[in-house]
Order: sequence, then C-alpha cells, then structure tokens
Amino acid sequence: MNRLDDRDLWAGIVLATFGVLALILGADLTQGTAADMGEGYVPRIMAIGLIALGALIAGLAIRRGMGKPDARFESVRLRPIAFVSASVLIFAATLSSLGLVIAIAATSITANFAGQPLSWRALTGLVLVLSVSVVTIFVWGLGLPLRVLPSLLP
Amino acid sequence: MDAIFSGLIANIGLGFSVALSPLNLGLCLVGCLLGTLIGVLPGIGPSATVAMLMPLTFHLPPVGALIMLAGVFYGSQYGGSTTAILVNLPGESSSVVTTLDGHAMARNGRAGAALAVAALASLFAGTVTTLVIAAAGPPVAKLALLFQSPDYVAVMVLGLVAAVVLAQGSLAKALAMIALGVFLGLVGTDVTTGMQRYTMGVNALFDGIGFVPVAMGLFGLAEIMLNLEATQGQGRVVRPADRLWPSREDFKLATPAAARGTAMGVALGILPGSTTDIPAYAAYSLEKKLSKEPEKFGHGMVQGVAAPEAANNASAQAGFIPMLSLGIPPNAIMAMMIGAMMIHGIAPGPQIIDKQPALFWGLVASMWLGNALLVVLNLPLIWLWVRLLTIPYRVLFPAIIIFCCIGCYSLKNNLSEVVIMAIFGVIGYGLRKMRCEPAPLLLGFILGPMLEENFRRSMLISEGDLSVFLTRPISAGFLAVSAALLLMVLVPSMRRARNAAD
Repeated sequence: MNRLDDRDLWAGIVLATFGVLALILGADLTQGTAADMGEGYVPRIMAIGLIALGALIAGLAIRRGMGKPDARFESVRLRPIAFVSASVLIFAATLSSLGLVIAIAATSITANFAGQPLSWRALTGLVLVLSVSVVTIFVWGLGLPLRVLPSLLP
Repeated sequence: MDAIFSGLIANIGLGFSVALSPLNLGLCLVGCLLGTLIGVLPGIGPSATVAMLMPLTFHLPPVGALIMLAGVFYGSQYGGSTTAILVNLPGESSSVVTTLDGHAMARNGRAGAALAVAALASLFAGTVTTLVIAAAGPPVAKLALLFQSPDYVAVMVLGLVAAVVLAQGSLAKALAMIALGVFLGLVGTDVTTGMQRYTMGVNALFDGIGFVPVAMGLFGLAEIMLNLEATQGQGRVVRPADRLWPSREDFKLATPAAARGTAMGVALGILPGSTTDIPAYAAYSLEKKLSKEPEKFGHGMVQGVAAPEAANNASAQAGFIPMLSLGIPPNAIMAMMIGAMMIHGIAPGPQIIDKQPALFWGLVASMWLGNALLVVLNLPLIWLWVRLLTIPYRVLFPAIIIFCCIGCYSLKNNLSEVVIMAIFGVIGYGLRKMRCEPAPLLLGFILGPMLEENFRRSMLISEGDLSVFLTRPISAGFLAVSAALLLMVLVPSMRRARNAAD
C-alpha cells in the first residue's frame, strides 16, 4: 500500500519547489549569454538542476512504491526542533537590549524545554556557571564588545 | 635531489620554529584539548566540533587561528574514537568501524589497550601523512600555478563529483545538495555586475550568506535537535577502563595494520571529495581479508582498531593537500578551514606556500605536534573524558547552544547572523530527516562563488564555447577523471561498497 510519508518523495518535492521558487524570485535577474553572463545565469542553472534532480528523486520514489518501511520518515518530534530554534532566536532578540546575562538566562530556560527539563535549581546553577564562564572568556578574555547587563537608560 | 631534500629540511625547520613558538604551541594544545573535550560528547562529530569552536579563533593571528583549528579537528577525531571504544557511541560515521572491535575490546576489559592502540595508530598515521603533505604540497602548488580558469573549473568539478561518488546514499540527492549549496553560495551582491541576487532587501544578505552561520546551523544546531530527538536527553552509563598500555603481542599485530591503514587513508584521502569513513571501512575489510582468523573480527581484534583509526586519521590529514596547495577543500572540515582562512583575509590558493611559507609550514609542523600532543595528553586524561561522559546531555546542550550563538554573533557583531544560524539549523534538521547529507551542500556553498567566477571567465575567454574545457590538457584530464569516477559508481561492486558504508 502506498503511504505518503516517504522521505525520498518529499526530498524530491521540497528540492524541486525550492528550484521553482528560485526561478520565480530571480525572474528579474539578467541572464546574459554564455560568453557574457549576467548575474542570473549560474543561479538559474542551479535552480533548473534542482528542479530536474528533485523530479528525478521523487520519480524514483514513486516508481519503487512509496512508503516502503525503510523509506519512511522516522518519528518527528517537534519539541527539540521548536525549542532549540526558539532559544537561538530569543538570544538574538535579547542580547543587544538586555545584555549577555539575561540573554543567557532566557536562552537556557527556553532550550531547557527541548530536552528533559532540569529542575529549577539545576537550571539556575547552569545559568550562573554559563554567565560567569562566558563573561570571563568572551568579554574579559577575548575583549568582545558585548553588553553584559541591561542598560539602565531607556 | 639533494637540493630538494635540503629544501624540505629547511622548510620543516621553519615550520617547527613557527609551530613551537609559545603562543602557537599553546594554541595547538588548547585546540587539541577543546577538540577532544567536545569530540567525546556523544553524537558530536568532528564537523560539528570544528563549526562550534571556529569562533574562538576569530580574534587570533591567522597562523595561530589555523593551528588551533587544526588541533580542534584532530582532538575531535580522537575524542570520537574514545567514545566509540568506551561506550559504543560513534561520534560520526568514520568511527562506526572503530566501535566494532574497539568496543568489543572494552567489553573484554581491554578498554585501555584499545584506546592506546587507537591513539598510537593515529599518531603513526599522522606522522606519515605530515611527511607526505610536506613533500607533495609544494610540487602540487607549483603545478597549480599553471592553472587557468577552465582548469580551476575542472578541478572543482572533480572535487564535487568525488564528493557525490563518495557520499553515502542516493547520488541524485548528493548532486542536488551540491546544486543547492552552490545556489546558496551565490546569494548576495554579484562581484562582476554589482547586482543583488536573492537578497530580498535584507541587509545582512548583501555580502552573501555568511559561512559561519551556515556551518554552525547545519552541523551544530541540527546535530543537537537530532540528538535530543533520538536520545530524549538521556545520559549513558560508562564502564571504568583498566590497564592502559597494550601488550607486546598487541604491538606486533597492530603495527603492520596501522601501516596498511595509513597507506589506504592517504591514497583515498587525497582525492577531493573524500570522506573519512570510506578509507576506514576499506582498511578494516582489508585487515579482515588478510587475517588468518577473520571470524574473530568484531570480537576484539586489535588490528580492527589500529587499521581503521590509522586510515581515518591519514585520510583526514591528506585532505590538507588539496586544501593548502589548490585552495580547494576536499571535505566539509577543510571547507571550514578555508572559511577560517578567508575570515582572516588569506586568499586560499596555490600562492599560499610561496607567499606565506610560515603559515603553510607552521601548519604542517603543528599537525605533527598536534598528533603527538594528543597521545601525550590524552592517555593520562582518559579518566577525565570518561567522567565527562557522565555529564547529562540535558545540561550540556543549552551550553552548546549559547556558545554557538555567541560565536556566531561575534564574527560580525551582527545579530542577523544568529537568526540565519537558527534558520540553517532547521534546514539542516529537515535535510537530515529526508536523508540528504549536509556535507556536499557545504562544499558547494564554499565552492559556489569560485566556480561561478572561473566558469564566467572561461566562457568569456572562449566566447561562450564549452569546448575550451576539453582542449586544455589540464582541464580535460580532470574532467576525464571525473567522468571515470561517475562511471565507477554505476559499476555494481562499487555501488555495493557504498551501500555497505551506510
């Protein structure tokens, strides 16, 4: 029986879609000729290559019968992917305004939800250790221009 | 001949004078230690380790930065073997082979001997390969000075084809990853026309997508997501190691195996696009074929540790030859080294050996020092690595994320880079879920701009005639080898070897 959770099928679809998007978003780039290439020439070759290869990958998956047990996606858990990326984005959002210490705390707390959460005590300890070591290594040691604490001025 | 030889001695002398300066020696030491420290963590392979620690080297002088990064690389490889042997957890595909007999030895209570054999075999391979690099690097670079644009295109095509051939799994996927990588490498302002491509008005993309956030996202963050998904943040239990030093019998068996593994590793590793796992597998199966008691492999044969460890290390280091003498990275880690060079304003290419002899020879000398330091340091420190394994992953990974964020930000003091890293983390996760390898993508990404520039120039000179690639002997030669490699994949026995490596 055909199942749609075939990773080759989706790999093909995703890659070909990316190629199509690349052609659309780059529609206004100058192509030029082989002897005098515009900025769109090589990217377009790559986009067409992606469409062709994507179609090939998906086509092969359809031909062999979709969703064979060894071609299915392994179980996807959203928790790690969501919280790991969220923690990185939170770091980006907090660092310049609130400073390193708060950014580290916010990032650690968010990241903590990605795995098996630590107790609050262990988490506090982790944040303290990380703050001290990061400030020591990167701010004092390497002299990076990072704001350590939130600025008191608005 | 004598002149060449004395030149080599003088160059190696220069190298050691650079590598032995207190700063560089210290950086090599710190690199090896940090590399091992991160490398022993289960599930973090050398690529992820190098990507994570790269930012620590941004503020160092260029030679020191590369020496430290190379140290991180050897350290992480060694760390990967340590976990493979002690807890049966390979850090990356190349140490899968080491788990077979290495962990079997550990189960037989001979963990110490297995670790020492792995370290000594790697040192042996590292020493031989360093000499090969010192001898082969300059002539290859001399040859490369004759290269013109079409030849560069051809050698890059060879590198990418080899990456496809030696990659695991589907050919079409590996090709698609390269195309995607080249495409992403071209985002930003076009150098020739000054026009913007695919920047969609985002300031941070005007200079192109940064190499560091891409590498750290694809290898560092994606790795964390996959690890958390697979292990659900569990720690693993570790057995204590016994007596460290291998017996005389072990040495007698391991030495020739290490020598054969080294030869295999250098031969395969010099090919652009090579990974370290194929040589390791090839060396292991060679030992099994040569052995009088092949049925004992998998149950703690010392040759089964020595040969793949030597092959793995030799092939990894042989990758420095195309990297340093042609400026073309043969694998993802060398791509990161090229990235680090460019961050320090060093243009990779054949001119490096002549223009920056201190850099080239210092790096070569530090390779040997790094390997020696690893043995000297790590044998006494094994107890520490074993203890480190008892730190639960759920404590480690938030720390790793924070180091990635700070490292990524500090390169340009730009938070957009951190956001790009997060995006590439998700992309890397998705690709791995679809069984698309990120390594060819990264190679394509770093080669993309070089490839386009040289392709454009070739076509400009030939007035759009593609035959220019076939009429120049150098480029025709490289393309012929590329075609032969592609044909080889279609031969059933090679295909089987690739599948066996999965």
